[in-house]
Amino acid sequence: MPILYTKKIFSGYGDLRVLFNINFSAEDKKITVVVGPNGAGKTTLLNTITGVATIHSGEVVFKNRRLNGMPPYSIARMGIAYVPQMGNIFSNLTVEENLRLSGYFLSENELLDRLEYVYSMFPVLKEFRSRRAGTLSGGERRMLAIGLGLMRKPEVMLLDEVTTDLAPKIVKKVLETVVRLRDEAKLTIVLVEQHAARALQIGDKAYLLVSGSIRYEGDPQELLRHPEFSKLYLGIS
Amino acid sequence: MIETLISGITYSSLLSLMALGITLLYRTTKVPNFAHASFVVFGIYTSYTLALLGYNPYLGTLLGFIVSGIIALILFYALLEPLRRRKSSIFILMMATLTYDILMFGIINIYADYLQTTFKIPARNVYLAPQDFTLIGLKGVTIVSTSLLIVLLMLLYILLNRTIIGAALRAVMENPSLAQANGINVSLMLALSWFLAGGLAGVAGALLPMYMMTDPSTGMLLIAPMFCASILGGLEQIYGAPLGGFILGLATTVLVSWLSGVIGYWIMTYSLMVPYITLIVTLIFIPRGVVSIILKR
Ligand SMILES: Nc1ncnc2c1ncn2[C@@H]1O[C@H](COP(=O)(O)OP(=O)(O)OP(=O)(O)O)[C@@H](O)[C@H]1O
Ligand SMILES: [Mg+2]
Repeated sequence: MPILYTKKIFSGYGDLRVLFNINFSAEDKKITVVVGPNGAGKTTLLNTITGVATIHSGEVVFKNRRLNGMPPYSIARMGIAYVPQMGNIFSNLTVEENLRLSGYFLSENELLDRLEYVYSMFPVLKEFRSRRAGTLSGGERRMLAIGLGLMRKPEVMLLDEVTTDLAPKIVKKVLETVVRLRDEAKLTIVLVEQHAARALQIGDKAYLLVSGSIRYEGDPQELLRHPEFSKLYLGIS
Repeated sequence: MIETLISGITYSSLLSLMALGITLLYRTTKVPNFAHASFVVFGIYTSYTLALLGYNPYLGTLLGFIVSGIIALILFYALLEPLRRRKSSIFILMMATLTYDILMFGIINIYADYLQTTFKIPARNVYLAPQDFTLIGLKGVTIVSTSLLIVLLMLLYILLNRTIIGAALRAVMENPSLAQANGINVSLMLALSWFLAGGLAGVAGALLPMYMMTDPSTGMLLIAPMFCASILGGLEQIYGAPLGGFILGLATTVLVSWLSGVIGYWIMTYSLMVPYITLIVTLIFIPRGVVSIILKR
C-alpha cells in the first residue's frame, strides 16, 4: 500500500497546465526516483503534492487523507518534508536558527532531540551552528536543507535535485545520506533528479516524466535500458 | 540654533517610527504601503480623543498602537490577503493600499465633522503642544518621542533576533515559499507585520499633535517624507529606516531654518520639497539606500 499517491492529477500554475493525468505513488519506506528532462514537470509534481501548484482535477492522498486544497504549511506539519530545488535554506539566518525554525511548533524537549539527531546525522552542521547559512559551501547547504526537513520528524521526504551542481565526490555523499534516511530513519523518499543514472542506482522504483506525462513506471535498472530513456539522455550522465 | 536641532531630533524620531513600518511591510509583503498615511492619522485622533475625554494624551501612544494596528489588520485581511491569494501583482496590492487610505481619510473626516457639529469641538485643527509638560528645559514630546523610538527599536530587535517568532518573520521576509514548506503560517506572520507597522505609525501619530498642528490630511502630507526616509535608509534593512529618518529629519529642519534666516520665512512653505529632492537624488545615486554603503564589505 503506498503511503502517498496521486490519482488522475491534472495540475499547473493558475490556468497554465503542466501535468496531465498523473498516477504516481510512493511506497512506504522506499526510494522512488522521478527523472525527466528540463521542464518535464518534475518540480511541479512535488509542488502539486505540497499544495503549492494549482490542482485542476484529480486528488493527492497521504495516509488515506486528501491533501487537495490544504495550505502548504499544514501539509508540511502532517509529515511531508519538502526540500525545494532552489532557495532551500534561509541564508540570512544562522544554521541553528534555520533548524530551530523548521521545528518551531515542536515542544522544547522534542526540538532539542531532533536538533541532536540532525547534528549526529550531519556533524559539520553542529560545527557551523552559529554561522550564517549563506556562508556554507554547496554541499553543506544541501545537508542543511535536508536537515531542515528532518527536524519535523517527517514520514515522507521530497527531495528536488539535491545533487545538482555538486562535485562528484559530494554527490556520492549526499546519495549515501539518502540511503541512510531510508534504512536508518525509515523514511519514504521521493527523489527527483535530472542527472538520472546515479539516482536510479539507489532507487527502489522509478518514473520517467516527459512533457507532463508519465512515460515509464517500474524498476529503476530496467529504465536505464529503456529505449526512450537512452534517447532522452544520450550524452547526459 | 540648538532649539532647531532639538526640534529636528523630535521630528526625526517621529519620522523614524513611521518609516520603520514602511520598511517592515516592504520586507514582508513587498508592497509600498500608502495607507501608512491613515495609520498615522488614526494615532493623531486617538490621542486627541483621549485629551478631549480628560486623559493624558500620552496614553494615546499605547492606545494608538492598538487602534492603528487594528486598522492595518483590517486592510490586510479584507483586501491584501484575498488579493495575495489570487496572486495579484504588486501594483494591484499598492493600488489597494491607496484605495484603503482614501476610504480611511473619509472616515476620519466624518469623525472630525461629527465632533465639530455635534459637540462644537474644533476637531479639524488638532494641536496639543500647549498641554505638554517640560522637564529640565526639554519639551515632553522630545523626551517621549526619542525614548520611545529607542525602546521600540530595542524591542523590535529582540523580537526579530531573539525569539522564534522573529526568526519566522525573518524567514518569511527572505523566502515565503520555503517558510511555508517548513510549516510556517506565512499569512499569520504577514498579519503580525501589518499589526506592528500599523502600531508604530499609530504611536508616531499619537505624538504628532504635541509637535505640530495636525488635521485629517496630515498623513497625506507626511507620506512623502515617510517613503523618502525609508528609501534613503535602504529598504533591505529594517534599521535603515531610523537612519533615513534622522538624516532626512535633521536635513529638513536645519536646512529650512537656515534658509528662512537667509531668504525669509516664506521659504518654510516649501519645506516639503526637501524630501522630494532627497528622494530623487537617492533613487539616482544610492538606490539601495545609505545602509548599502555602510554594509558594503
Ligand atoms: N511557478 C511557476 N509558475 C508558472 N509556471 C511554472 C512555474 N514553475 C514552473 N513552471 C512551468 O512549468 C513547466 C514545468 O516546470 P517544472 O519546474 O515542473 O519542470 P522540471 O521538470 O522540474 O524542470 P527542471 O529539471 O528544469 O527543474 C515549465 O514549462 C515551467 O516553465
Ligand atoms: Mg525542477
